[in-house]
Amino acid sequence: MRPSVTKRTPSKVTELSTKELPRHISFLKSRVDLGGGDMDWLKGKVLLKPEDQLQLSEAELQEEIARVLTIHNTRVPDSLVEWSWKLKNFILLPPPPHLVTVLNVPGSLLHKDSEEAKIQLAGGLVVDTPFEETIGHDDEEEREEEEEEEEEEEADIEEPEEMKDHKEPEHEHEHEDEEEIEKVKPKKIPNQFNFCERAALTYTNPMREISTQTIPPPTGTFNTYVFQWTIFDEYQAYFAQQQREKEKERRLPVLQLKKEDVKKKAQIESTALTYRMLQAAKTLERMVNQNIFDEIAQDYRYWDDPSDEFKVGEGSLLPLWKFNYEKTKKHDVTDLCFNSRYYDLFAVSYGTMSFSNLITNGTVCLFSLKNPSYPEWICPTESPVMCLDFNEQHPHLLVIGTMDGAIAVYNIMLPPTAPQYRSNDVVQKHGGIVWEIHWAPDTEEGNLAFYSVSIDGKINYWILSENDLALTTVMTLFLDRPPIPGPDGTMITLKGCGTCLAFHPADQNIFLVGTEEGTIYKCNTAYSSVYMRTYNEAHNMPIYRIVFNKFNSSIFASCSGDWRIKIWEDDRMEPLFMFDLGIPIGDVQWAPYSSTVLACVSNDGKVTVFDLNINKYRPICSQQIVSRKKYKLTRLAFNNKLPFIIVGDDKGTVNTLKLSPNLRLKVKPTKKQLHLTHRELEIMKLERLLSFVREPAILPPPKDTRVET
Amino acid sequence: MKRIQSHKGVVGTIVVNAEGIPIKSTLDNTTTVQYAGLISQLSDKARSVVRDLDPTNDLTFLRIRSKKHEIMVAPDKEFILIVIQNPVD
Repeated sequence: MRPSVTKRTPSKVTELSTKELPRHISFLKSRVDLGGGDMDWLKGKVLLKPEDQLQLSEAELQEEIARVLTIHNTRVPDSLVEWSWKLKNFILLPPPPHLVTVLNVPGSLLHKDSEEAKIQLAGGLVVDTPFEETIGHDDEEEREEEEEEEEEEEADIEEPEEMKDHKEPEHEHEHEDEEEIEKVKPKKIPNQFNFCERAALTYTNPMREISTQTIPPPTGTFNTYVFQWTIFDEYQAYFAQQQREKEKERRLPVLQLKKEDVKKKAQIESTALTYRMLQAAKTLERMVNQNIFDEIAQDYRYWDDPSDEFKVGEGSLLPLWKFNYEKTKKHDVTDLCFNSRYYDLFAVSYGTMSFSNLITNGTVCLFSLKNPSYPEWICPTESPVMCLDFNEQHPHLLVIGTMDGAIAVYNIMLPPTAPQYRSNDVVQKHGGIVWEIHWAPDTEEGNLAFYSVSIDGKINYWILSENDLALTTVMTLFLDRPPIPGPDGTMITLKGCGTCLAFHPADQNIFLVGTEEGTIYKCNTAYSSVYMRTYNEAHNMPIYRIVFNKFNSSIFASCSGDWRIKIWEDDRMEPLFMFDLGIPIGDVQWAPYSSTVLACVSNDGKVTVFDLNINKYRPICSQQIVSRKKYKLTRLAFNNKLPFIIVGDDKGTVNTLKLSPNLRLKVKPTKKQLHLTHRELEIMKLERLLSFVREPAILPPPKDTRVET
Repeated sequence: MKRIQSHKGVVGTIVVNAEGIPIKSTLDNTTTVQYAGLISQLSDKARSVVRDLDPTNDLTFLRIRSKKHEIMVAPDKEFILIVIQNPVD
């Protein structure tokens, strides 16, 4: 009995709803109140109060008002009465219904049993009526709605209606089958929910796959970076090519010697390559040496003996590198010379000083401080080399004099295979050992020239022309002794054996020659037969060296095998100073930085340094450099730029010694002298010193001072 | 070359051609190849640095000082000379 159920529920609902309504409203009200109160803090808005609103006190506001919810609808009047004119009395009316109609929509559905429906089904009108199955159901709904309507209209008469409803569905079911049969005949109503789908399937073509693979083309990866210099190089090459093309156009008719050109080119390239290779190897060797001798190199540049500050008038020598060459270990160092251009480069000549020695060959080596282990340039010679000299203006030219009296000029830029110039062995040569050789100023024609002095008593002047040497004998040293009779009645004038030569720094015509007899001759190149002055008995033994002072050209020093160093002034027959070291002195040199400093080497392996300004009688330094027993020191040279000296010994070794600060004292200018140069100051210093020494010219000559070493 | 090799502390010398292939060496094979490869790369890079700073300039020498050795390199267009030295004996 579905309909009954459906019928009752709505009524209940209506009852409930009416009862709940007030509750809802009250609830709503409280919500509103609460909300209003709460919102105050949220929005800063002041509630506008109507003016006639009741003013409540705080206590009143706080008062709690209880609300009670009841299930009874208080709004519904429960005792309505009506005046009945018939009864002339008030009759109690039933309470008004709880139902409130909110919306009332009349439906368009019809009951299929109703007359109207029958007409429609008969085909009078085409109406979109629902199909058969749903009709019954629809009817029920319709009925419900109708019932509702009825309820609204006449709530009181519910009961009879319900009874009708109960009967109707039963009736319906009985007639259902009949109706279906009937409906086949009448007009078919299209059913929009009833449709079918039709589809056809065609043949599917089977899938086929055909693929072929070709051999992949060869690939190669190439990557490079382009730098600024790459671009630069490309441009350079392009420019060079353009230049070549231009030249080719010019030379076009003369294009024949191709094969030779190619050969030559290859040769040039290979020589250039080997040259570069050698250059690189040389630098690497220097680096290796720098690493090996790092400490020495540091000392050489930066170390100064700190104890010099406390020692007055005394100095010391710091030994640095030792230079030697394996093949010349038995030779004597016969001469040393620094290059004028490269301060670290010096030439060493290897020969022999003692003539009992059986050495018959010699060597010239160039050493650089940068490579102490091996010479930069080695030139073996047939005869022991006795002297050499670098040209100042042309620092690549080196002249050597040998024991057999020959002279050779080398260009050290070329490999040392053959000399550039060489004296003729028959016509142009000295008759004995060439003891000293010096470049002279260039001739008027611009040719190079040099002087040499030899044991045969001749001083020769050599001029380098295009391809040969021209020889002039400037002077022959004849002794002032009567000629002695020769073997077959001839008279022989004795010649002096020249051992050293020194040119006047200011006047290049004047020079001094020292001899084995111990005499010093002052000569002039202009007069070949007359001596300008003769210092007779200047020394008692051969003079090994004469040197002019670097600052005052009238002062010169000489040393000799008679143990003495003498300092002379031009035109004064007696020496100004005399030092006796008690041992033959091999070499003496003036310092390039001071006018009063001179150093000498002696046969006992000592280097002695004098500074006349500090001590006129004693050396300021005398230091043993090599073992006294084994070695003799032979030669000495000051470096022109840095405070060190090189000392050669008789075992082919060259020692480098650094001068301590006390050995290289320079003049401190007083306030008045500030404008003067160093050179002027040095000259003044020497002058002052000389003025003390010159005075006792009338007095007896100063006694020799024996230096206790 | 022999002379360089004879110096104190020199561990070895290598000559490398332009392709980075060692031509002459005083070291054993593997070390030589390793040095040749690495040093030629390094010198290329170093040259590129120098030349990038100034295209007219060029690298001439290279010294690499390490705790154990000093490697000295003379790079050229057609060869590289390498000397390995042990400066502290």
